[in-house]
Amino acid sequence: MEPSQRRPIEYRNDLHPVWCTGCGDFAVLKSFTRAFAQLGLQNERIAIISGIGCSSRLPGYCATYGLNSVHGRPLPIATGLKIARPELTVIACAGDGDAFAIGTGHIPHAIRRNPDLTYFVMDNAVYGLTKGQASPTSAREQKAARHQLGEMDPPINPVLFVLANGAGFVARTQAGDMKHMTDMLVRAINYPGFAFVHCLSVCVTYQGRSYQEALDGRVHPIMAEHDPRDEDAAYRLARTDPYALGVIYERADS
Amino acid sequence: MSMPAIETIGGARYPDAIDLAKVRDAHRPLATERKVVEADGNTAAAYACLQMWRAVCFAGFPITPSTKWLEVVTDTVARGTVGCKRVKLMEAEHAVADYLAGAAAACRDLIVATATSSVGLDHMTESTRSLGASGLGNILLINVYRAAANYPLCIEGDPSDALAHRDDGWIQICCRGVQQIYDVVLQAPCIGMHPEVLTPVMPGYYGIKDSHRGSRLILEPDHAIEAFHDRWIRPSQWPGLINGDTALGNCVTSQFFQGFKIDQRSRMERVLTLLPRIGADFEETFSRPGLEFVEPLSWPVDNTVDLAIVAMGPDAGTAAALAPEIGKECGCKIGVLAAQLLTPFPHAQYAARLAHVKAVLVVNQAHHAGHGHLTHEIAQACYPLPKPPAVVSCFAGMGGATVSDATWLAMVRHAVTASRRGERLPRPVIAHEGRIIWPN
Ligand SMILES: Cc1ncc(C[n+]2csc(CCOP(=O)(O)OP(=O)(O)O)c2C)c(N)n1
Ligand code: SF4
Ligand SMILES: [Mg+2]
Repeated sequence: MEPSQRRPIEYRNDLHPVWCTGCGDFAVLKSFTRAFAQLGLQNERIAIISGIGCSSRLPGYCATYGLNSVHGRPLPIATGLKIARPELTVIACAGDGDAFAIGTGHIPHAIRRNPDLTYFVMDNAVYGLTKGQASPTSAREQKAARHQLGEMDPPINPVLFVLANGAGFVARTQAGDMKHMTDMLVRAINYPGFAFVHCLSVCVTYQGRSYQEALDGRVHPIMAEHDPRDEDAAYRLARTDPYALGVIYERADS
Repeated sequence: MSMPAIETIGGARYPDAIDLAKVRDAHRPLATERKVVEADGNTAAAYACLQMWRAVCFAGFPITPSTKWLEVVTDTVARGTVGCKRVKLMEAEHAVADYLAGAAAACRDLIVATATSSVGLDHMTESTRSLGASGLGNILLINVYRAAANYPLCIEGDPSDALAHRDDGWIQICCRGVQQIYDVVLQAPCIGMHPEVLTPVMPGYYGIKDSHRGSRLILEPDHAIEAFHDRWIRPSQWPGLINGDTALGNCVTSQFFQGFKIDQRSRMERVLTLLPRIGADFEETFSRPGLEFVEPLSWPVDNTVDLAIVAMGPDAGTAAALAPEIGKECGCKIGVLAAQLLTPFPHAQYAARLAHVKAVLVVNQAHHAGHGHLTHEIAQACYPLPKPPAVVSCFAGMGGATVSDATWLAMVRHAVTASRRGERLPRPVIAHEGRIIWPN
């Protein structure tokens, strides 16, 4: 395939993001534009649908079609859009709260319907926009240390959740590694079905500036011998290692 | 050994299912004596909830501008200073409403509370519409006004959320200012849990304009609040819903449906006789105005008003402050009424006030398909009067916009002109930043 002549900047509009300096969402935005450029997508052939949250502002900064929609609802909107305009590259994106609190009910059904779209979740383990409450992905230790509500409730495991619901493509990445994020996004977009990318991200304001450093210390590539076509291995990995980065599962029949 | 069940027409009641004496004993006061603190509206509402011994179950989901209520409740409960209360962070507002329904149904003698706003309230709709008629008067839903999801979103104080939920069947009370927020929340369960009312209450106040504005707040001692509540809230004689033959989501034939609605309406009507009594007791106990149907903010005792302004929330206070000056400029005597009880709407009380005025300027701060939520009610109130005044409808302050002095002047001028033309219910206008901006 010819390398694309497009530049990432061509997918950005003039708006300056209102995110806090150092927020993980900046890097996600960059990797979105890099992935689009790498794939040589036409701007008017991309639609990014988000929910509500700091992370969900992302479509507003892209020179593509986009919708900053309703809290928890990007998936049904994206599914409807994809059915009406199958030729579009459709990306649903959301924060961990949008995806795994108010929007959780839609995930199994979107997976069942298996539309050809990418669901990219920026998981900073906190409700950033509403000023730092614990989200369903917040670890108990975090909630205890920060006196956040819900300390007794164990966190959701996003990767295990989507696997258990039958997602055909499941990957994990992190906002501190733009190259990796771009790679995962490209693979997810290329996957012909529902593709889920779990992006470990950082909220500098409510997780602190050291959070990214701590994350960098924990994440690591998936071990070389992992076969993403092996569903059992994917489950084992999902259960045991919340910091392994890479493609965790890619259904063989795709 | 547990006490035997008591049969009621609503099903079996288990009087010792929850040991209320223990709950009462476990309460720790936030204030042992009257004290003055600095607080914003959300904090005032949270303090009021925390001071009621019956309120042990809280739930929430963050949304601007009501989030601080949840934060204050959470922090205070976590410090353990108010005894053993429980706060749950739910996954969405519909879950909050259902959680409260479950807790409230389990024990009608306990108060369960939350606060929300705008799309948060919308997200609860399926449950709030059932709860309104359910008989669970022990649910307190604090609604911090913010424009509802009527496109576009806007986080400032606009009562379109509360007003869009007027048919949910809740008692809705609009508060103005930090002290009134605290006082109304304290009185709300007395009316909602009254055996002849049994209807949940939705006190509300303007987001940002009141939720975030700091002011002096008198906190009453918990023991005084307890004594006041005990005069109005008696042990329930009804089983929790889960024991009875009614339930949320139950389905009846149209024949029975009428009975439910008649009952709901009768209970709502009872609010109109009870509210002033509770308000009077509050005033006598705490030496501050208690619940009222409508606040006469600037109203001469002899009722000699040419133009009455009916408005809601903190902007009504501005209107009252400006009334003498604007009245002089426009050559009319202005009186200002701030709406307090929104649902049920006290038509008779407005009719009595407005019987001799020449015109009423109704200021609606929420989008409405017709002349405005308040305008419709005021027009209905005035309809039976022998000489009904012109009812002039303005929309101003939508999306929480400031209603400036110049905007008030523009609206009064418009009302005077329109009423002089002899129109009874002129076409509504939108006023903003000192001008009538629609129709232009
Ligand atoms: C129905 C509804 N309830 C509550 C909110 C308030 N709200 C806005 S964003 C948000 C959580 C955002 O968290 P997340 O999705 O993790 O995004 P982040 O800000 O962390 O990127 C909430 C609760 C809302 N917008 N709509
Ligand atoms: S609050 Fe957190 S998630 Fe939101 S923009 Fe700031 S750093 Fe990012
Ligand atoms: Mg988040």
